[in-house]
Amino acid sequence: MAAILWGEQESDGSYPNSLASPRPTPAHRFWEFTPDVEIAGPRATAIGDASQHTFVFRTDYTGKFVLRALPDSAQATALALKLHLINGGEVTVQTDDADDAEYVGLTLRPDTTPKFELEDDIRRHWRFECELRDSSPITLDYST
Amino acid sequence: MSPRLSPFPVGAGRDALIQDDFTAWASNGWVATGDAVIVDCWGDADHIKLFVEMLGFWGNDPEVEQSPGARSTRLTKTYDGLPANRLVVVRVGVAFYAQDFGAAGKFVGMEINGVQFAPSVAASGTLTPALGEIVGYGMTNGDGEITVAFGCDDITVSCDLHIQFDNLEITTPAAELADIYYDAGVGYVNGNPISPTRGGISFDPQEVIEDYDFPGKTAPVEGCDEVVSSRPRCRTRFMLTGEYQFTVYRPDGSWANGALEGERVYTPAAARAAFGAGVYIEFVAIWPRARGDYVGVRFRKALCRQYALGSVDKDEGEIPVEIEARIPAGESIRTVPYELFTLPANAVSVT
Repeated sequence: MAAILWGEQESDGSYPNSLASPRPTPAHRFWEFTPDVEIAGPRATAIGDASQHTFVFRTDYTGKFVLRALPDSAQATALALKLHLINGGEVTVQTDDADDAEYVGLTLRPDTTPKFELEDDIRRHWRFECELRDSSPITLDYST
Repeated sequence: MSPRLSPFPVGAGRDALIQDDFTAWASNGWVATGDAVIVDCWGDADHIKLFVEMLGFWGNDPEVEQSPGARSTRLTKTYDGLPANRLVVVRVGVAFYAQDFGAAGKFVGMEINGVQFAPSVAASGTLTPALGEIVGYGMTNGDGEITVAFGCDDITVSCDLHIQFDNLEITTPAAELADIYYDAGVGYVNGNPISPTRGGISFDPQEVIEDYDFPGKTAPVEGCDEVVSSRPRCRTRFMLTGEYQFTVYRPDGSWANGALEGERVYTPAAARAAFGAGVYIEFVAIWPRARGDYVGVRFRKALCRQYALGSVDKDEGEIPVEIEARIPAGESIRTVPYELFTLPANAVSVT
């Protein structure tokens, strides 16, 4: 199941907190996943030949994850996750993709804030969006 | 031909055309045929038993004729008094004890007009039988008859076969021409017929079913559909213009004497305010079916959303209406506000 998990991991490998779409597979997948990479450090372009120069303090691999069709009952959990990320907490993301990829120890992408908003008032569907960071690439394959 | 399993679901709650518990079956029209020795293996009094247990020799006796080596038997009866030329479903209970050695892999079961049907269970191989049934089907002939047979084929010695048949039922399938509904239908409001109709009553659940979208989708997926909304509606043309009928056609109004002598005036309630709870009706549309009973749709709460008065030269006037279902107050907002139902031929009420 595609989910964002956090908290002290139990002995059986489960997490006490999770945010996921209630829809059955494969309709529970993350939406609008967007990988990215950027460096923390100065960048400059040489005037003479336009070559790129950087001093890399840190490399941030990021991924945007969106959960949709969350019900009213997910409001408290979504707010708790948002607060956890804002406070620098780590999460585990289970993608349920073709490779069953799981990313552990992700944190909030610098200078971003998770969003939680009502997407459809009649259907009572909520949307949770966040951008997360890791030190190695975050990818997702939903081609199958 | 390999024995088959019936494709038809037997209608739940439907009265059987024939029920036979095989009491004293031996004197009730059943005829045993087949090869020597095995033809004598039918027994018991109040259920039909086929018990064939031969070790080494037919008849357990080398002096008995052993040819043919493979032997078959049938117990056959023709049931009559059924509707002519009708597809019927025949169901019989079985208790299946043993099918081994020279009986293993051979046909054991029921024939309907010569077509073989197999039990739903295999032999238990123990003193406790496997309980199941055989469901077969066939057409009655022009005299309303159908031939039912039980039996086995090509049993060889040594063999062990023990099966019992009991409680036969002949019914009509759940899906057949008798389920066609016809004629104009009648509309009931709060349990009473409100008016004759012209042109029939149509029902449309107007349900919107959504198949979930998801990244990578190529086609809708099993288990990923839901009813998003529904607006069940019946349309018909009523004909009566009584005071009560107008309170249904245009809810939330009142009749009073008018200014002219003998005049009566119906004044609808003011706009921009919710209808009172008392104006909602229970609406039932019901149609007769070819089998003689009824099928219908019920809105436990409904509102007439549209009406009009129309007249035609030298003909009766009509009032086209649309009646729409509502979720009863206090029930879950996920309730689907209609139900389909059937009623028996002798039903006296729709509520």
